[in-house]
Amino acid sequence: MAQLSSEEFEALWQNAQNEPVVREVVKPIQLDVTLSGVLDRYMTIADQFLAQGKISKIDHDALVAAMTALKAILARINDKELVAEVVADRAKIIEQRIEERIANLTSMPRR
Amino acid sequence: MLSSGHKINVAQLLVASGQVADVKIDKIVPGPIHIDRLSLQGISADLKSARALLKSVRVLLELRFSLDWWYNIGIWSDSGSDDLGKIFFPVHVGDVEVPSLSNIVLNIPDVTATNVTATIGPIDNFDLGGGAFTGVSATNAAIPTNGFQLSGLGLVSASIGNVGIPQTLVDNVRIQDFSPSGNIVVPNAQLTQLQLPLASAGDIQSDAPIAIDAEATPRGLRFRLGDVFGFTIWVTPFAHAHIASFLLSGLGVSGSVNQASIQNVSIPVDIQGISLTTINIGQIDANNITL
Repeated sequence: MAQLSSEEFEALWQNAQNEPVVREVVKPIQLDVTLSGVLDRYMTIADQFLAQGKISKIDHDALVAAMTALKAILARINDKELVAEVVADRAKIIEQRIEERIANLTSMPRR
Repeated sequence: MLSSGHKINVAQLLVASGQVADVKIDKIVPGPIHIDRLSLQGISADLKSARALLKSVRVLLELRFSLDWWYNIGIWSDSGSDDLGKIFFPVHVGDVEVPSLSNIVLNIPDVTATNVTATIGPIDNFDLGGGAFTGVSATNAAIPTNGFQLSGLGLVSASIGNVGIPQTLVDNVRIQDFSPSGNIVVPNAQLTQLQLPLASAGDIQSDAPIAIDAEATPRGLRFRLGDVFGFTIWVTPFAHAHIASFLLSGLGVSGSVNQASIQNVSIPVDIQGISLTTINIGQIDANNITL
């Protein structure tokens, strides 16, 4: 590893003094957890099952018909927004728990 | 008998031989010494330090994180690796005192130097051969001391061309300066078991800050939630130490030389203030005496 110069060390030292207790790293994930999203994903897998001969054409057609009817209802109740609200509310609760834990950590007396 | 009102002037004295009871030399001033070859064998030196002080020590602990992850929830599955960045922990250690240090022993097997020049103090008891005198004076010369007699001379003035005086006693001869034509030459000399005395030295302090960087082997923490979800957090620690200055105090240095030899030492000298007392000269030839 390359050796730090005095100037580099001083810069890192000053930055380290001001670093937050917790650094947050956010990695966005593309995961549609709504029921309509799950049905879309399941239909993709059902298509593979049909191509592999694991399910019959009749059963596949029945799945498509049922899912189409269910998705129509989900679209009517605006399923994606409702689920997104629930996910956001739960995320807030989880975030609040984490903040409380950080607050407890920083308020602990140091040895 | 010689009249006491006359002065004897001796133009030139040729001394064939004589004896001197005592020789005193005020000062011998040696010139720059030239040594063809100087050899030192078995040199050892001990560096003793009472304590060492590391001033203003700071350590920056750096942790670099990376994450390997995967999930498999039936209809969805994925995996990947991400760099999570790094966290620094500044640790101000302050001054660190090292109370007792082991002596540093230096062993140097052999050292040879050629064409060394040096200066030395006064020297005596050397045979210097011929040379040039200046400022010679003799006092209380008694002529003769053993049976020589001039009698019946009542002259107002006289001149004697050549006379031989068998024995003469001179109380004191002083030579102002004598520069011998040859140098003092010491062919070789050896000195053994030279113990150098303990010498104290001032504090030694480093001029520039000292930086130490080290990297440890990465370690991972693996978590697995059945066949649904799992990750491994990798941590690579780095330590960056910074010491403002390093101080050695209470230093003492001692050493010894097992054997030292010098070869072909040549010293030009200038001798000042030679006194010769109670000189008994066997034969003086005076080639012109005026009375």
